[in-house]
Amino acid sequence: MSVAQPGAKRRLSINPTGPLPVKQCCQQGSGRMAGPNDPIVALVGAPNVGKSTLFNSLTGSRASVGNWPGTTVEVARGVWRLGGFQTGAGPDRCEAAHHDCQCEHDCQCDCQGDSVPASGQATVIDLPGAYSLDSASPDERLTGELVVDVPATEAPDLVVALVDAAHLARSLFLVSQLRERSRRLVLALTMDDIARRHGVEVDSYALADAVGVPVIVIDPRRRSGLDNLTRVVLETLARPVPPARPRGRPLDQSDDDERFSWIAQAVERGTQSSGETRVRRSDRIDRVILAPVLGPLIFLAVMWAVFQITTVVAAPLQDGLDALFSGPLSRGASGSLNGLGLGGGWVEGLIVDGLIAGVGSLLTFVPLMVLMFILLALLEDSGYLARAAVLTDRVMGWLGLPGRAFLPIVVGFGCNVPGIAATRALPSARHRVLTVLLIPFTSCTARLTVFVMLGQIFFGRWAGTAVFLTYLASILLVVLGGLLLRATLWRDSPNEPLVIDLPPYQTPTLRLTAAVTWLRLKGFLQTASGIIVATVMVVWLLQSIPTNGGDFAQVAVQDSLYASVAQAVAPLFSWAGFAQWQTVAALVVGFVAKEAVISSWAQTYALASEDDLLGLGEQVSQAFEASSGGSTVAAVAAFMVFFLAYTPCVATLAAQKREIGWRWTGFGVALQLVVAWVLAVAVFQIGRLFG
Amino acid sequence: MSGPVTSVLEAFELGLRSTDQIARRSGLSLDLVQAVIDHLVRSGHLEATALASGCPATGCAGCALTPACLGSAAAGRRSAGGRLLSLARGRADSGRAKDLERPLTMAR
Repeated sequence: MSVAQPGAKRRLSINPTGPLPVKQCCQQGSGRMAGPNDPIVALVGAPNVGKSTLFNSLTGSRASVGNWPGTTVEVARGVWRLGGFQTGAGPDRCEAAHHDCQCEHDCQCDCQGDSVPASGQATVIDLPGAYSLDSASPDERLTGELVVDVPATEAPDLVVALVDAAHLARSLFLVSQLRERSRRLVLALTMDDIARRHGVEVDSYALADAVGVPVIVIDPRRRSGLDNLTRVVLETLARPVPPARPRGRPLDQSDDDERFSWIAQAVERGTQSSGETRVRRSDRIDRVILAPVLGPLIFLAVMWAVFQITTVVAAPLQDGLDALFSGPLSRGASGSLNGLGLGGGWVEGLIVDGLIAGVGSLLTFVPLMVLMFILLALLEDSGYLARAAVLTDRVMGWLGLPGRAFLPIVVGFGCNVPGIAATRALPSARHRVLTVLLIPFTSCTARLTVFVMLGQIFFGRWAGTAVFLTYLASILLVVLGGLLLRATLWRDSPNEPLVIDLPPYQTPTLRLTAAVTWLRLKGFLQTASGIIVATVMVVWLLQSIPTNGGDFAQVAVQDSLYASVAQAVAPLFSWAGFAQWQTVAALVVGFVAKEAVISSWAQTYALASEDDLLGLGEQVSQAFEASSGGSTVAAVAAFMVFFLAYTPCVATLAAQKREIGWRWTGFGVALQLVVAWVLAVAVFQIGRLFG
Repeated sequence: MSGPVTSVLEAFELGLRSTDQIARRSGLSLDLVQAVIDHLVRSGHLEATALASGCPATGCAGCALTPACLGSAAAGRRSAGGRLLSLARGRADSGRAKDLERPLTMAR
């Protein structure tokens, strides 16, 4: 065992099978510990209530920290110099101290009858953070055993319970249990300044009357109130141990009911609130944000603004990056390869038309993703997105869908794979299958890039609105799909009680917003770039294999295996207005991963283009115009709907298979393809009527 | 008359969907309702899931956004995503501390 030295805290390594700290008072070199007959004061309270800060303020460097014997729970103990105050440990305590001390040293007792020990100090033990004395965790169990489960002679002489004034009801549960025993107890009220900011005034005198023990307001960080605490602790030590609080509960109430009733009365008596305090700022905002009609409208407006701001602001930056990749960078790479004698061959095709065109097309979306992630991080950090969850849940509740299923569905809007994995939390197997089948209809981030690109090509300054409408369509698909499945396969599907606990609104911080944006961007680029590089290689390979004779990598792309496969599938989409093989080939690639769709387009058109000045947008536009017979917008809308509803990616299929098996996964794929095709045809056929 | 804990659990059974609704129905303050809910979550009567981090660790391998989930430890600071609360399917007694078998005494 080591002992703390002045100026530094040293971690002790107490052997769990070794001696209990009861012998510490007598160990050589442990002169920083209080004497055996000095009072022992235990600090208890919930985590983050200021307990350790108070401990450090009281003990300074005179502390040691170590695991409590027999446990992995860390406990700190130190000396609290009580200054000019005098303690009142009685002779029974002094006798008990001698009795407990089993070492060979001759410990001197400073007790003189009812007077105080000459040392003028106490041992303070900083017990682990605990919300209650129940044995929910080793920390709480240790606190319970050391403070209340031991006989009175072995218990601490006094317990200082730190109570968070800003969350008084939560903090008082521990106090309610402590008061069920006959123990000396002092309440140290922290976070009083935060409580005041919340409009709650704690009347320490009234609270002391209600709780039946002294209450002192302290601020351990500023070391204020510590003199009062010292004085009250000494006064309390000098008094007899108070009786336990009387308990009387109706027969139909549990122990916890009785405790919280006691807490409710204590809070009622001990706090004063201005007329507005009960209606906190967040509650006032929520009255508007969560209003039955206005709330959803605000949510839609916010999301529309997010997409509109993103597309409008990012557009010029995207154009600049696109020009960079398709212009100087591609030309520079071609020039370098020519200089190395590799120009004009398959190497140039793979690097310039494949990797630079494919990866470059992804990188042009970086400004857009950054803006989108910033805006979403701001909404999330402010607490608003949690309100959006309430609105979503409400809609699902109205429709009779399982409320708990909305969480995986919300996750699915980021990425379908974790959304599907999150369905494991659903208690009902039917709910799991239902939700897994619905999640692929949520528009994930990977699909967003394609929607944005098509929006910018075909809808100009309304690109944001077009993307927003795809999200609305996604929500509609989830709702209609859920209703359809519930009305057919799961008519007797039970619902379960569910409550959403909302956080208060808070001001987003720049640091967190920047960190989250960077993490999300980095994650997206890492995943997407890996998928794109692999897909670019496969697409390049397929585009290099001739189907009508010729040499490998020396074939026109429309005569390649890649184009042949797409041409075979393309007629299926003639009623939907996008039967051009280049467009259908992108859908086939999208079956593998949506991130790779734009890169495959870029790759295809880079090879097919005879005019370097014709950009990707123009070539995609020409393809839709040709396949739709002039109803370009209707064809693009149909394509976007198909793109939204059909199978998201192979990774999603794997996740579905893992959660619900092959049969349901196969059913889901068929359902998605049928729904996507029917909707695409309907959109195009109706759309062409309006020109 | 029901106690606070019973009132909150009854509100769950009745299908109330927010802590605010529970507070209004039970006549308890919102702080007390949240204190009761925290206690019920700790004692295993309720299950709480962070709204922003509903992604199980095993399911995030293919997700580009996993590292930045606001409800996860990666985000640190505080949870701005709220919680989804539901009645527990079974009491959570089994997961409690098992390493303290003998009673401990306060050091002197």
